[in-house]
Formats: sequence, structure tokens, C-alpha cells
Amino acid sequence: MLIQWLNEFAKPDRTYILCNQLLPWFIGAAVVALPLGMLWGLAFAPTDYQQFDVYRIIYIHVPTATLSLTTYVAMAVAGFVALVWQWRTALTAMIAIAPVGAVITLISLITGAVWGKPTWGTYWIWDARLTTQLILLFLYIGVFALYLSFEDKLQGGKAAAILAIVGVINVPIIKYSVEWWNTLHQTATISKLDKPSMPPEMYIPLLLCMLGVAAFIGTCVLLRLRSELVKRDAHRPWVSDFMKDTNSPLRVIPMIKLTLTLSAVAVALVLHSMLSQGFKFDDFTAFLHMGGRGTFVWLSFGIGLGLMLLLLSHSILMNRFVKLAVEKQQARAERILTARKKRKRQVQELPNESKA
Amino acid sequence: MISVALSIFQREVLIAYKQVSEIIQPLVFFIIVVSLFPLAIGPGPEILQRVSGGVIWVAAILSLLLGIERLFRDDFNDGCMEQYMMCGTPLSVIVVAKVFAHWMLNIVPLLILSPLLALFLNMTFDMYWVLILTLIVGTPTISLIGAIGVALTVSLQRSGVLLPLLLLPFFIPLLIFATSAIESASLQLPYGFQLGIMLAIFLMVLALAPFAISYSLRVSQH
Amino acid sequence: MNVVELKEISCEKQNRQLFSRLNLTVSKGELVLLRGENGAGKTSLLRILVGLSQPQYGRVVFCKEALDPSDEQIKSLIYVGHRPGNNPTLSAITNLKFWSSQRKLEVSETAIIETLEHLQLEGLEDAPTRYLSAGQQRRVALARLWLQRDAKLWVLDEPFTALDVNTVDMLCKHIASFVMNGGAVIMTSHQAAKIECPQREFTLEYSW
Repeated sequence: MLIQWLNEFAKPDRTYILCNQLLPWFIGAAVVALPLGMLWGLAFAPTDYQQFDVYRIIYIHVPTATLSLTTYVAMAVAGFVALVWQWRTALTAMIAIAPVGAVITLISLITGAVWGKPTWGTYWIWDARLTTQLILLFLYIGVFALYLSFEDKLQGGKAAAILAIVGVINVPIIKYSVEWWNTLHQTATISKLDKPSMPPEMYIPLLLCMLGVAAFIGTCVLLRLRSELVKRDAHRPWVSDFMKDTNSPLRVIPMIKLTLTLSAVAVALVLHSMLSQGFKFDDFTAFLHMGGRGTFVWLSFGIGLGLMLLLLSHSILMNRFVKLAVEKQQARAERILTARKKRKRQVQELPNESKA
Repeated sequence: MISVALSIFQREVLIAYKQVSEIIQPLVFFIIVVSLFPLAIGPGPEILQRVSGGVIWVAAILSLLLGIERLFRDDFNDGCMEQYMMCGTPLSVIVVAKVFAHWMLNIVPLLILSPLLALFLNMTFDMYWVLILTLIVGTPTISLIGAIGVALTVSLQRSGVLLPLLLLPFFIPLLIFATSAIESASLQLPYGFQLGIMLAIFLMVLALAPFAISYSLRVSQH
Repeated sequence: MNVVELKEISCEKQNRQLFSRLNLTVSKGELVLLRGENGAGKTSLLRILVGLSQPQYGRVVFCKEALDPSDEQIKSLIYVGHRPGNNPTLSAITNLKFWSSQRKLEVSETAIIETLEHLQLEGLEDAPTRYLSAGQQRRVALARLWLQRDAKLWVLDEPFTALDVNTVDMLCKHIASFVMNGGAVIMTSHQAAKIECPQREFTLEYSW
């Protein structure tokens, strides 16, 4: 029953439609949660008594760091499903996830390093979490690079899936080994960032950011999945049907009214509780200054958001490139087939002529 | 099954005998890399002793990566792999025989050379003894994991830097445990725990890798 | 009796649907000639048939059992593909000896030498195969068809490429006698060869 239902969605055209149906929700959630959460975290959440204002990097670092691992597991699960049940769609999903995960991991690494300088006094230490995160980035890059180097994308996807699955076994081993190694090396003078239990005024915006980043990841993955599906299936009838049909779901369905209303309500609620906490700085220059740590906070947010913007625009542009490529490929297929028909006709006509 | 594995092993040895230079090259590379380190970080015996375990391990991994592509590439290109897949013996058995042959032919010479390098780097006898132990337990794991990477990339014309990129993350735990075992030995501390973990990793890889390798080889055949 | 049966096979390569829902059976005592233009998917079909590639949909049934490459059954199949399957540094004899020991065939060295002599490779038996010409290398690959006597199915991909006229004749006769004795052969060939045995043509249409 469930398998049958899932199999229905494993068909590329169904997945494509599903992507289109899901996209508005993810876009809506990201548009609402990400700016609000970050604004709340940056300007309205209380100052930390130990780290003062530099702790505000948490609102971009922790969501990306947590979700990078989740994204990797999601990618490996997609790969596993693709190999075991021979679902090409899952393979496509895996390939859509890999670059997004890599960028998210990169953001968490960069923001972590920037945060490390004022708190630990150094940009990088070989701490278990940092090392694992770095390896995770290598794994993402490896999976995607392996996929890219294959001419046959189905084959490349399968190879990448194997690597992703082997990596899943490896990540906990790496984490454990580095942790053990680090406790053995007691030369590390910098104590780890201790995590006091947070007051709700701090972690509600964190949750909001988490939701926002998750929705952002979902948006990028869905956008890329859509393009990858079309690219992969360029020769199949469903793609040309969608391309011909001007009202086709190839375009982003405009935001549904319901989504808009719901998000408006959510925004109002969040704004209310955010504003009730009050602006935590004396004036705007103090906000920019962040108690002397402004450089680090704004640097990490700038790099993080910049990378996210790059990823998003690439995911959107990809759709355009793919569409052009598909049109080109379809034109080529048509040219080859008509040339073939013509040649065949000539071959058939020749004997007739000689008879005449 | 055993007879087939034996025949594969014989074949590998015979081919290696005809292409000795391909085995010697990684070995020379190994020696060169190790002898570069004293020149780079200075001849101080204490420093050299401190880094010796790590240097030899890193050099061993690099030289292994250099030669490991041979493992499946020739068989893949000349079509012997196709025949292996149709010979009625599970591919995972054949693959294990090949990896074992590769280990015997490429790593054992490296082990034999290691006393010389231990002298270069001013290792104590305790350290050297543990170095050999970690190499014996750790290098088969590296060969098996490396074989997965080779099997994945064998159908690519130019894999270049891709193989090291894919494989290095997987070598990190081994590197950590091996070097820390050697360090423990240099401080006269027990090192059984690290060796035990390395052995556990090896057994796990031995159980799982053959299937991953043979599956990857089938994907590469497409 | 069917030796091999392809059921509803679909194959896709490089964003191109080579064929879909294809059905084909090869029975005992029959030669199937696979025809089609370059790029129609003949080699892909043969590779699916011997289990080297997986079809997108459908399955291959070999001697009434689903094809499982790790099964002993597969030994009753001989595949000669584009790649010779011989290590270039080893000699013809050694290559064939290892090939037969992998298949657990009882083949003596004299039998191998005799076969190679039959294929006009006298004196080249113990030279590394990389010194052999393309046609000679192909003959070494084809020697397998003489060495394994209990095979049920031969899958030959362009077996006549690079062979001289005499060898083509010899191979044709060998195929004919194999088929007459109850063997099954499926092969692709662009050359029109005279093989005197019951045969059937199967044409693959080029599609996109």
C-alpha cells in the first residue's frame, strides 16, 4: 500500500509536480522565518552575559552546522533508496542535495572560524566538531565531484550514492576518533565553548532561524531537483509535454492565497513577541558596533548570507540553463530522426526508380 | 572458490613480476617523501623522533594512493573484468584475492624497508615495533577502502586528483589511531587500545568492503 | 527449449532511450543475428544479456532462471566482446590458462597449444599478447570458443572484426557446428558471413 503510493511518486513527472506543489510552502517558510529569526537574534535577543554580543553568530552558525549533518544523512538515505529499489528519482534527489549540503557545511565552517577568533583567540582549532565538519565538507565535495566526472549521469549517480553511503558509516567513526584524539592531546589550552541552557528569549529566535535555514535548504533542493529531473529526462515525452504547455508547472506556481494569509498571521505573531522584548541596543550605531565585536558578527552573517544567496541564484538560474539545454537536445533528436527517415525513404525509392 | 581465488592471486603475482617497475616506483616515492621531512623541519633528533610515526604513516598512505589505481584499471581496460564477472565465482571473492595480492606486493616491501626509515627518523625500538604493528593492522584497511575508490573511478578516463579526494576522509581515523599508538609507545604507555580499535576497523571493513567494491565495479561496467 | 529469454527489456544510455519493452528469446540449436545501425544499441543489448549492465526495466531469464551473475550457471555462457579479455603482458597460453582455471575447466596446456595452433598462432603462444596484431589478439580471445566444450550459449559481439578471410571461414564453420549440436548463439555482425545453420535475424531500430 505504502510502497505502491511511494512508487507512484517515484515517477519523475509526479515528483516534478510534487516539487511544484511543495515549493511555495518552502519558499514561504524561508521568506518568513529566516529574516525574522535573524533580525530577532541580531537586534532583539538579550546579550549573553559571558560572550556579550559576539554570541549572536549562533543564529547563523548553529542552524547551518546542525542541518549540514541532517542534510548529509538525507542525501545518503536518498542514495540508499535509489540503489536498493532502483529509484532513479531518488538518485536525482541525492544529486540535488549534494551541492546544497556542501554550501551549508561551508557556511557553518566559516562562521565557526570567525566566531572562534574572538572567543578562542584563533580561527581554527583541531577540535572534534570542527574536524568532523571539515571532513563532511570533503565528503560532500567528493560525492558531487564523482557524480560530475561521469559522462553517463545514471552511472555517476549510482557511484556517488555508494560513496555517500560509505561516508555515513565513516562520519561517526571520524567523530569518535577525533574526539578521543583530542581528549588525549591535552595540550589544547582553549576550553570548548560551554553551552549553558539558554533562556527562551534566546532560543526561540534560534529555532526560528533553524526553521528558516531548513526551509531554505528545502527550497534550493526542490529547485535543483526540478531542473535535474528535466535534464535527466529531456528525451521523455513528459518533459516535452510540459515544455509545450504554456500553463505548465515548469513555472513556479504563484503563491497561493492561503499561504500568504497564514504567513501574514505568523509574521504578525512573531513580530509581536519580538518587539515586546524591545531593541537591545541604544541606537543604530551601537547595533552596528555590537559591543566592539561588530566585525566578526557582520563578517559571519555577510559571508553566510552571501553564500546562501549565491546558492539560491544558481539554483534558480539552473532551471533556465536546463530549459535551454533541453530545447537544444530535443531539436537535435528531431534533426537526427528526420534525417534518418529521409535516408530510409531514399533507400526505398531507389529500387522503384530502377524498375521504372 | 578457493581455487579460483588462488588462481587470481597467482595471476597477479605473475603480472607484477613482468612489471616490476610499477611496484618499485611507489616504494621509491615513499623513501623520497620520508627523507624530505628531516630536510624540511630540521635535523633535530627530538623533533624527528616526535613526528616520525606520523611522517611514515602519511608517506605510506600517499605512496599507496600512487599505486592503487593499477588494482583494477588494467583489468577493466583489457576486458578481463568482464570475464571475471561471468566466471561463476562471486566477484567479491575475486576482488578480495586481488586486494590481498596488491597488499602483498605493494605493502610488504614497504614494511621491509621501514627499519631503514626508522633509522633516518631516529625512532626508538619500542616506537618502531609499534609502527610495524600499526602498519600491519592498518594498511589492509587502506587497501580495501582504496579499492572501493578505485572501483568507483575505474571507468573514468582521467580521475586525477579525484581518487585522493574521495579516499582521504576515510583514512583519517586510521591515521589518528596509528600515530597515537606510536606516540604512546614512545612515552612507554600502553597502546593496546589503539591497536584494538584499528583491528576492529579492519575487521569491519573486511566484512563490508568486498560487497561495496564488487557493486561499484558492476556500476562502472554499465 | 529456450536458453535465454529477454523479457520487456528497456535500456537508457546518455539521455537516450535505446530500446524499450523489448522481447527476445534464443533457443537451443539456433543462431540469432542481431542487426541494426551503429548506435542502435546492439552492444548494450548483448551486455544486458550477459549481465554486465542492468536494464532499466525488465529481466533476463537464463536457462529458466533469472540471471544472477554470481551463479555457477553463468559459466555455460561464453562472451566475446569488444575488449579482448587478455592481459597484454601475459602470453596467450597463460591468459587462456587463467581464464579456464577461473571457470574451473579441466583444460590441459597441450589442449590450449593445439587450439592456438588450429587458429594459426603457432610460435606466438608464449609471447606477451601486446606484441600480437589486432587480428591475432582477437583469435586468442576467440580460442575460448574451442576450449570450453560444455557451453550452452555464445554471445559474440562483432566476432569477425580484424579477422582474415580464412579465420572468418573457420569461425563460421565452428559456429555452425556448435549450433547444429544444440548450442545457441547470439551475435552482432555488420559483415555478411555464410553460416550454414538455422538462423534468425533480429533488427534493432534506431530510436531516440
